Amino acid sequence: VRRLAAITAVGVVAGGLLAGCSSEDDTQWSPAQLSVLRSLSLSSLAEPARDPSNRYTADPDASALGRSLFFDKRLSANGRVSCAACHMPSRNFQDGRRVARGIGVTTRRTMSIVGAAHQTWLFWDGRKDSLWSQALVPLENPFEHGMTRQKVVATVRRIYKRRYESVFGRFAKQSVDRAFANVGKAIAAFETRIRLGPARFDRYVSAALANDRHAMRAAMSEQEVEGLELFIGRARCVDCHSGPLFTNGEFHNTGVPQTVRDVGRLAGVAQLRRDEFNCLGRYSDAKPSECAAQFLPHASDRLRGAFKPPSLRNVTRRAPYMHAGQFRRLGEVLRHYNNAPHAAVGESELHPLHLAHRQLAALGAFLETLESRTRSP
Amino acid sequence: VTARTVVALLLVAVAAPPSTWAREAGTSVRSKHGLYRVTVVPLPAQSPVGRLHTWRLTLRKAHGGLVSHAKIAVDGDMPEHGHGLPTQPRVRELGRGRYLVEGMKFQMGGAWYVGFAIKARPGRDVARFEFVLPQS
Repeated sequence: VRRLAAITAVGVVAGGLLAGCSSEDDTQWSPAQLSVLRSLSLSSLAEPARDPSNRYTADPDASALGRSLFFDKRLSANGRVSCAACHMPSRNFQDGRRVARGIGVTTRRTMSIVGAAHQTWLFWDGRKDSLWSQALVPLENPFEHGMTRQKVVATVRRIYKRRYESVFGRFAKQSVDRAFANVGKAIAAFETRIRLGPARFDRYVSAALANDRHAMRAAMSEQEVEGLELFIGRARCVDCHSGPLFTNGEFHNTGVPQTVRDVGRLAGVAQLRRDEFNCLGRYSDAKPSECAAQFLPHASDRLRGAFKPPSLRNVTRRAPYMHAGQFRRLGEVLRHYNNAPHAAVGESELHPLHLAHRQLAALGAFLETLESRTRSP
Repeated sequence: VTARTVVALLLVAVAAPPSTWAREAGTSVRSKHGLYRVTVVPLPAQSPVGRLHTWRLTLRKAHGGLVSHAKIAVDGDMPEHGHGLPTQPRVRELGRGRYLVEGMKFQMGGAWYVGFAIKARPGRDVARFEFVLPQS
């Protein structure tokens, strides 16, 4: 038995040493690379997402109400803008525009809300720390829904009184701010139920972890696998685009061109700190010890011009790119990262990658393997 | 060399890599001007990338005695990127030279440093830990 154990152990180590070498036909992933692949797989995503600041997240009636509110254009000053106007279900819950348009035109690109329930910080600058408080902002933005919280609450009270009160209690006993927060919590309960389906990449990782070469080849082409190797290796995309949603959810200055001067996270932390609807505030259901905002960094130059890396799942289906839609095509994005120009605002964290055209094409091909369906209630 | 020895050696070789960063980060360092010896134990031992977590810190004078009632500020960065820590960690005193550093988080793998600015009876000094975090 000892000899068998020794032989097995030698085999394990030899396998580990051999892994990492590439043959022309097949990529052999090392144990460290497999660990990264597993961390990127959708099966590593803990569903359902939890939000201690919203006790209604798992409430089906709150979610059903939230769904109605999400699609209701009456929650806008001109009666023509709903959440779904920018977060279109048919477009992976974004709008395909350079910057968002509601009643007017904003300065930032609409982010997809798929997977947003798993994010610690919301918006490009993280000025919100929950999905429910994020959902309140467009309602009061004069360029989006153009409402006031008083008008939102009055509208919900007029149209959804019975459904609202069955979840949140009587309007008459609640302040406008409390009822407004509850509107956000209902919308967030709906948004939390929007789920990503597995992509070809996820099937590839399952096959790689089982060392099923046939299934690996069926899931991804050689060029796509080459792109994946670059993604988690030399191109270092995975530094920021990590985890099953391909984002670390934090903030980075990548020196993207600026159409409107935008300091990103630097302003975001200041806004979050004084936000009455943050996780530490009176409308949150969380204990302070459950809030990421208790460790919010101080405003410093390190945050200037930093933005949140968006999820790369379905990235090929959501051009244009960056916080103000600065790049029309994914190829431009890849060239930007390859060249790593100086930042117009703050300091860029990037360094030139010196990748060949063929390698950029492989990275682009790999990103197509992240396409998947979205399911929503 | 018996089969058992071979197995033992191989298991050590296989088991070593995951805890490398914790051992690197966990070693004691002498503060810049030699006033203190600082020991940190990051919890947990697996990669903490993307997770809020806690470090245990022990503060001693250069020649042994535990230092209580210190004011300790935390900073960290990746010299290659310059984005800093994504959090502002807090230090809580447990007593008898022991402290908890709460709210530690690293947003990516790679080369990091974490620095402690210490103010206590022996004086002001800084201590710095350098380590490499695996991506996952």
